[in-house]
Order: sequence, then structure tokens, then C-alpha cells
Amino acid sequence: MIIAEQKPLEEIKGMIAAADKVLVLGCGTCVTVCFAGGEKEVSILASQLRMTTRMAGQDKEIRECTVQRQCEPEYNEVAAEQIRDADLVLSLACGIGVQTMNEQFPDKLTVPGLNTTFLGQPTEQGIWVERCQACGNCILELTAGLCPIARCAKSLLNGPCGGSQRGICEVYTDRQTPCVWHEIYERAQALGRLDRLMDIQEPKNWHTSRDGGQRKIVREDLRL
Amino acid sequence: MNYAKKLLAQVGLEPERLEMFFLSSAEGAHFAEIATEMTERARRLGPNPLKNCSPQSSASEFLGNYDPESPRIDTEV
Repeated sequence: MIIAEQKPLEEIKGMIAAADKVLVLGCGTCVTVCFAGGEKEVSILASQLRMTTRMAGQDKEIRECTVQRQCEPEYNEVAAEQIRDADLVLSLACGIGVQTMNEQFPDKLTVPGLNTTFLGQPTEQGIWVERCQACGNCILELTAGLCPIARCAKSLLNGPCGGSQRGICEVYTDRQTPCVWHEIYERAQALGRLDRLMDIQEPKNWHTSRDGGQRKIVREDLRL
Repeated sequence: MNYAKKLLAQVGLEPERLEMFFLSSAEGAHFAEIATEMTERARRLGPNPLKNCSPQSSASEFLGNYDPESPRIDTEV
């Protein structure tokens, strides 16, 4: 899912400096699950902003609201009155939600309270790791279910670079990032699919990825 | 607890103002010690900076538009 992190409080304070009435708007989907912008986080941040602006001698009104999913206008419409009432909306949704808000309420600036970081997995409580690069052409079937595009520092397609030591990537040794090709090999061996790794993969066509421009999907069968 | 202290520090309030203790209703003497300790801390740190910042310092200000009755995530579309 989309993983995001709250921006430092100082940065957020700077963004709301000029506004008197700020609506802190949370999102109930991805950012709730990664504890960055859900209802609780909205509540905590709003409290912090009230305290800190009060101590700085500013008289701001900080209001709170959380919608189910900020990337869909139907859900944002529910909070329309509060949005229109505010001078500025501080969104705790991912970048998609922030942009949807700016499109849907063009006369109201919605600023981002989070940094949207990556597509990842909660590997354990409190830890999220990048797993997918949304490259548009999934090859997980060929690589025993582990993605070298996202998890290999060099996005190699045909096996390890040979630089890894003790299973740790040579590029990101300080972070102790595992060499995914080492993991792919181990898993392929366990599954009895080592022979698939011998197939040569041609240079990746990156057109399906962000490199090919902003992507769009049109499903005629779903259109009204 | 550590998280809450960190939040206070970010705002500019001393983290020592907040503390959590576990004790039962039978531990009267311990409670008295804790009360003394926290009073000492409050004296040492001085008045809460938030206290005299604005003419309106009632609890409702800090609660914002919190309403326990209203659903805060609207799922009815």
C-alpha cells in the first residue's frame, strides 16, 4: 500500500503560517493503516498546532475532520462545508488525496502534511519496507515472487551483480539491505524453479513505468 | 509515554511536565511521594507556557470541534 510519513512540525507550521482558519483533513485508507494521517494522527497534530501557535502568540483556529478516502471526490464532498469554511486545508492524505482536493476545491489551497514515500509492506509492527516500484510490467512469476526492480539497487533482471557479501547488497551495505537476487536464488531453489532463472531477460522496456510518462488506464467496460 | 513526551518537545513544552505512574488505591504513601515529586517539577519548570497565552484558555479551545456523538469518518456516501 501507499506509505507516507508526517512532515516535520516546523515545516507544517511554515505552511499554515499565513492562514487563520486551518482544517486538518485526514484520510481513512492507506495513511490510517501506516499511522501517518488517520483520525488519531489528525487529532494529535491539530492539538500540537493549537499549542504551538498559541505559544507563539498567534490566534489560529484549527479544525479537524477525516474522510474515508481523499482520492475520491464523493468522500471529500461530505466535508465540503468545513473545507469551504477554512482559509487553508492541511491534508494528511497521500499526494493523490492532496491533488484531488486541490482539483475538487480549486479556490481553496490544500497543502500536504505528509511526505508520500513509497509502495510498501508492513514487514513487522512499526516497520514498512518498499516492495514495489509500480513499473507496469510485473515479472514476479519469473523471479520466484521477489521483485528485483524494487529491491535490487541496480534493478538487475538477470541475476546478481556479484558484489553482495553475506547476502547484503554492496550498494546499501550501511542499511544492511538484503541482496534480493540472493533471496530470489534461494527461493527458486526451494521451489525447484532454478531453471527459470537461466532464461535471459531482455533489457526492460520502461515505457510502462513512470519513465514512459504519466500513466493512465481507461476501462471502457467500467465507464458509465 | 515516550511518544507523548516527544510530541510535547516538538511543540516546545518540557517533556518532564508529563509522567505516568502505576499504583493501586492501597498505595497511599507512594501516591503522596508522587504528588510531591510532580509538584516539585512544576515549581522548578514554572507555569505552563500555554496558560497565559491567550484570553481564551478554556478546555474547549483545546478540544477544537471534537464532538463525541458525531461520526468523524463518514462512510455513508
